Amino acid sequence: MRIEIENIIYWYLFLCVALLLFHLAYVLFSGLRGYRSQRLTERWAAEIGRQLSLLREGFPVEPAHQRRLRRTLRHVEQLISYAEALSCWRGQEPGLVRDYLFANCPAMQELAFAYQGRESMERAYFAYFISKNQPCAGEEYHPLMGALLSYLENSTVYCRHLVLEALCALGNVQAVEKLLASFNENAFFHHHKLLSDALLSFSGDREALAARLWGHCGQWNVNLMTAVIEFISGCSDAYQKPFCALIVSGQAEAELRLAALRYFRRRPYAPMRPILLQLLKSGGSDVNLAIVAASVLDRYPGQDTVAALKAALSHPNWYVRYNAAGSLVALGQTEASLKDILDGPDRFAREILAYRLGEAAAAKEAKQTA
Amino acid sequence: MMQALQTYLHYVGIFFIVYLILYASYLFLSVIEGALQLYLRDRRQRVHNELKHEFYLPVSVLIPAHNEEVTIVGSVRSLLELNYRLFEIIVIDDGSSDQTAKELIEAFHLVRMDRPLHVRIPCKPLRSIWEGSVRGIKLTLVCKENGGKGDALNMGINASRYPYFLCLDADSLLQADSLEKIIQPVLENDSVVAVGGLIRIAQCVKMEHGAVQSYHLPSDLITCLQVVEYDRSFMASRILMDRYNGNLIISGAFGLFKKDVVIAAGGYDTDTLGEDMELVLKLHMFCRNNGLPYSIRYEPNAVCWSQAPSTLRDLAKQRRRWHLGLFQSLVKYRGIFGRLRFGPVSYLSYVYYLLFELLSPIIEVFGIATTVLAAAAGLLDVPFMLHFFVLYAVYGAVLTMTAFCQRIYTQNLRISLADSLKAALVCLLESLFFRYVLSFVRMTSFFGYRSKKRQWGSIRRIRQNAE
Repeated sequence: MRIEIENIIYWYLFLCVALLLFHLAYVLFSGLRGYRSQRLTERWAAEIGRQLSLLREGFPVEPAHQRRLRRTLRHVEQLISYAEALSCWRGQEPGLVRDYLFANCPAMQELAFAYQGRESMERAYFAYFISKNQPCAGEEYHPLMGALLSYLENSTVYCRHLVLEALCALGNVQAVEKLLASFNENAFFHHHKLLSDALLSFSGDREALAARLWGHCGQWNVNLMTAVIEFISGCSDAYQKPFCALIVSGQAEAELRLAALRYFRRRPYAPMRPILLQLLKSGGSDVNLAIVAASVLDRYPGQDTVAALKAALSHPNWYVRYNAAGSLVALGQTEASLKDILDGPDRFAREILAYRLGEAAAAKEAKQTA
Repeated sequence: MMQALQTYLHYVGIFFIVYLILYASYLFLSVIEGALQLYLRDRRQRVHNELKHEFYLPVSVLIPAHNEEVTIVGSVRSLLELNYRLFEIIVIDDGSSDQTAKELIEAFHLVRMDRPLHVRIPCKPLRSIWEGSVRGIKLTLVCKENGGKGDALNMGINASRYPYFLCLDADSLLQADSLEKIIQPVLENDSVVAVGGLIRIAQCVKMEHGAVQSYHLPSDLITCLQVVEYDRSFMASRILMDRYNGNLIISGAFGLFKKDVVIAAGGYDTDTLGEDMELVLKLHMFCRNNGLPYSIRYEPNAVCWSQAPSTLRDLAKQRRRWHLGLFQSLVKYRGIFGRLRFGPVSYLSYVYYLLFELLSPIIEVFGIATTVLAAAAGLLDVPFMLHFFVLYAVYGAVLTMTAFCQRIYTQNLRISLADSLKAALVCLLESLFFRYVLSFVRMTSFFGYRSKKRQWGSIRRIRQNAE
């Protein structure tokens, strides 16, 4: 027994020392890599500079340079240095760098296919590279986009997100639609906040993208459609009628109705006023609609709104009362006009309103002092 | 008689061989797994494989404070340096007898407000609420009657506005990207209900605008020993347990939680000393019992620099409190033990904390007593004992050194050659002596156990090395 336990510990000890040596080697290697990477970046920057000079003088990019790109950028380390060099030049001559990238589109397309067979981490980096350096853009569906879409197979959440960002940067409606359809089919979870913010960075025709994505309402999962509504909220006024219908129908999932309701805060729509006033009275499982309606109504000034919000100060839900008080203050109601509540019998209504009034006054005073 | 003693020693020997093999194997596996995961993370970061984003989810940062007049203003100022778009800071003054509240009110020009609270978790009565705004970040000071750290955190949850809250010790410093990093697991998977970050010792760093300017090992030995001990223990248990959703502790010094789930589970317990561990066990229990898909994650890239006790007396107080907290939590959630429906949380994590954390001081004392007995009976093989002790200590020291080195390179920190040598020596000292001192402290933690309930652990604070 003695021998056995000693041997086990010696064996563990040996492996730990090996790991320790690996760490030390890795630290050394990282330092050398940093130095090498800097040298590579400088070399790429000089080479890109030469090609930009040619473009400036009206000549095309040298075929030898493109061959070098095809051959060398298959190595991630080279691609990292190349991206660094490009970002330096972009700061100085953005227009020329764009022309240079467009001229190298065939090489990038070939590389996109070359990266297909790599591990997810490297595919993700290539997508990141494309999101920062777009070699093509516009309405036409480019084979490069197809290559990026193929990266979703056996991918990580990072790879999927970077492909989404790359396709949004390329600005093709069809490619983004295909990507989201793939997310839906494969039930990939992607936080709706990440999705909607990435969609808002779409460089192409956002109205066309919104129309295409909204067409999938009822087909795609709730998370995706919530993101689509959030994206539309940030870019289009054209969805007042369908969103109004979505809220009124009562058939859609709660998350979609709430997202649609928030749309009407950013983009007020007169026919929504009676619906919002009605929703403000919701309770039970629909209480979230009342909470959001109380907040949205601060963009719908009018006597009926003020009266409804005052009534909502006595709602059994704390958040409805809180938002209603906030909306009353945002609508410019003063202590005098709210005297009936402030002197009224409902302690909860009184306290929350007094607090929101005090909060607004303190914020105003702080602003003036600043 | 001698025959009986020999039989007894034989079985004790078998017990210790099994125990040590299990412990050594566990440590070995966890350090290997930790090294692999950190290496992969390092590679991922290098090739931008992360959910880097301009806007994340809004977070309420809760800082429970009790007699923290020395550090509180510095801590709040460091939070204002965070690279994060939408968050609020709530300091909960739990009946301090010093100038904690006054320091904050004066430093940030807070204004007293009559704010009605939405009390969703019961807590001790409110005294006053003060609010202000610094560079667009809402700062709230909640003064309440003394009720302990758990009670203060419950009050903070009641006062918070956002769906996620981060609990933070008043003496902690966050790096500018800490909040951004700790929220990322939530974006990766919406069933994440809690995320723990990496705690490191604040006395080692000089921070400026949320960035580490320099790293060095502290001059006093007690703090140095804790530096290497923290590195090993965070790497040893958290990363491996994270692989199977089995973490039982998210340090109270730095942890992110989904507010609705914590409220549904009942919030922090106000009667335990280890309210952080109690909450995590409660979340495991709550989610499993209600069939909720959930995940409790550890994010080693989210770093919090926290002050460590610099005297043996303060350290002993802290460790006694931790050990009692561990005992209370494991006893309270003993239902997890041996229940297969809890999966690896039951048969791996719980067993690990029971055998190698809670009972280890008792087992070690039992071992020493048996050694003395064997020596008295002339049955002790002294050369073998010394050989084995040194071998085990060297093994422990190498493991700790491995964890320390890994932390240095994954965070791109630079240390001098003198500090490297010092670290190697400290790792050996930690393995040879320090762990036995701590075992003794933990062993004696039950003396006066009842009287320690609901007390804040107070250690001597120093001003932070931050600008």
